[in-house]
Parts: sequence; C-alpha cells; structure tokens
Amino acid sequence: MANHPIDGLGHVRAARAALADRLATPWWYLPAMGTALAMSALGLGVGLPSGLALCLAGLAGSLALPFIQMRRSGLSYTGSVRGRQDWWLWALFVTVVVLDSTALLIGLSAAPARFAWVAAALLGLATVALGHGYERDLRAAIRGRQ
Amino acid sequence: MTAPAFDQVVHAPHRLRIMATLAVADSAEFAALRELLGVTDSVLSKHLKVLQDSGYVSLDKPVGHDGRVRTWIRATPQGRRAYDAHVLALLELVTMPGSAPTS
Repeated sequence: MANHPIDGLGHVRAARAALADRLATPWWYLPAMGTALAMSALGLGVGLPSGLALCLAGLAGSLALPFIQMRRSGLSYTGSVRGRQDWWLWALFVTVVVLDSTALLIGLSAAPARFAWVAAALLGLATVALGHGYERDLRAAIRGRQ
Repeated sequence: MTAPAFDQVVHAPHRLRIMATLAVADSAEFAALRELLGVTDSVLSKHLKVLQDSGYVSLDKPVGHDGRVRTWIRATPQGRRAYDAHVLALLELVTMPGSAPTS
C-alpha cells in the first residue's frame, strides 16, 4: 500500500476537492434560508401577537435548514477551516442583527407595516447574496488547504 | 505546533482520504464517506476498523426517525494530530532533494 509522498498529497487534495463539492448546498437552500430569516424579521415588524407565529416559524425554518442539509449531504461541518468565508458569515450575522432590530423598532413604533416588509425583503436578499459568497469562499478554502 | 511524523496507519491511500475528509468535516455518514471515496461497503468498513483500532476515528450509530441505524464517523483528537503530523511529514518529504517519483 506504500505510495510516494507526492501521491499522498494528491490523495489529500482529491479528498478535499470531493468534500468541497459535496458540501455545496442545493439551489433552493439559500432562498429558503432567506425566506425563513425574512419571515422572522417580518414577524418582529408586524408586532405581537400576530407576528409571533411568523417569527417562530421563520426561526424554526432557519434552524431546521442546516440540519436538513446535514442529513442530505451526510456531512456535518461547523467551521473547522478558517479563511475569507468567515467574513461573509460575520457580515450576515451583522445584517441579521441590524435588520431584525430595525424590524422590531418598526413593530414597537407606530411606523407603517410596509417598512417591516422592506426590512424583511432586504434581509432575504442579503442572506442569498452573502450566503453565496460564504459558500464560494468556503469551498475554495477547503480545496486550497492541506 | 504539530511536529512532522510519518504514520503508516494514515498513509494507506483510502485511509489518508478518510482522514483528510474527517479533518475538515466534523463527522461524515458512512454512505457519504463511501461515495466520496468511491469504494464498497466492505472496503470502507475494513479501513474504518483499522483507524478505529488505532484510536483515530470513533463511530456513532444513532437510530434515525425512520428506525434505521445510520453510522456517523468522526476523527478523534488523536486521529487529527496523527493526520496533521503525517501531512507535514509528506510535505517535508516532497521538499527534500531527489524526492521525485521513480516511476
């Protein structure tokens, strides 16, 4: 079974490339995540009690999707590879906090509900855009590192 | 800091690919690992047994909602250290003069 060190490193690269491909999410994943996060923001924006169910449904969806992806791919990944993709994740986190807070303030104030819809739509779109950046850089980082 | 250390257990091609996968993924399901490696169940089981006996991987067999047992494999801290040290040893070997393949 002995092989040359160069072959060994080739096996490592091949394994990492195959893993990166398998970690790719299906086309519907990010739109579904965007919809779930937008639902939570909208729920906060329309205020209690009617928004609570919407907010909880969005929260449940955003928590369930990574689990569904884990079952689908047969892989669990929680961020062992450091790289540029972490910045996308932080950007998404900050976007969620800012837009959820904005939606909550809209819900607590007498502002028209359409502003909550705008915040929710922005969050949905940002999730898809930032998520694509995260996935692209994550796969590149996995392929690149020994 | 991991010191380079050639590891015969990890060096076998399939086991090296298993460890390379598990060094990145927290855990992998048996079927996913089999597809990633392109091997049969028995071949994968054989290599996992070697890695498990060396303390490099651990197997978890939770029962799913459908009642089926799914085997999830993860690298142990010892296995991760052995893999990291082995890859460093490979990198060291390929940078040595006269390390080109002979065939």
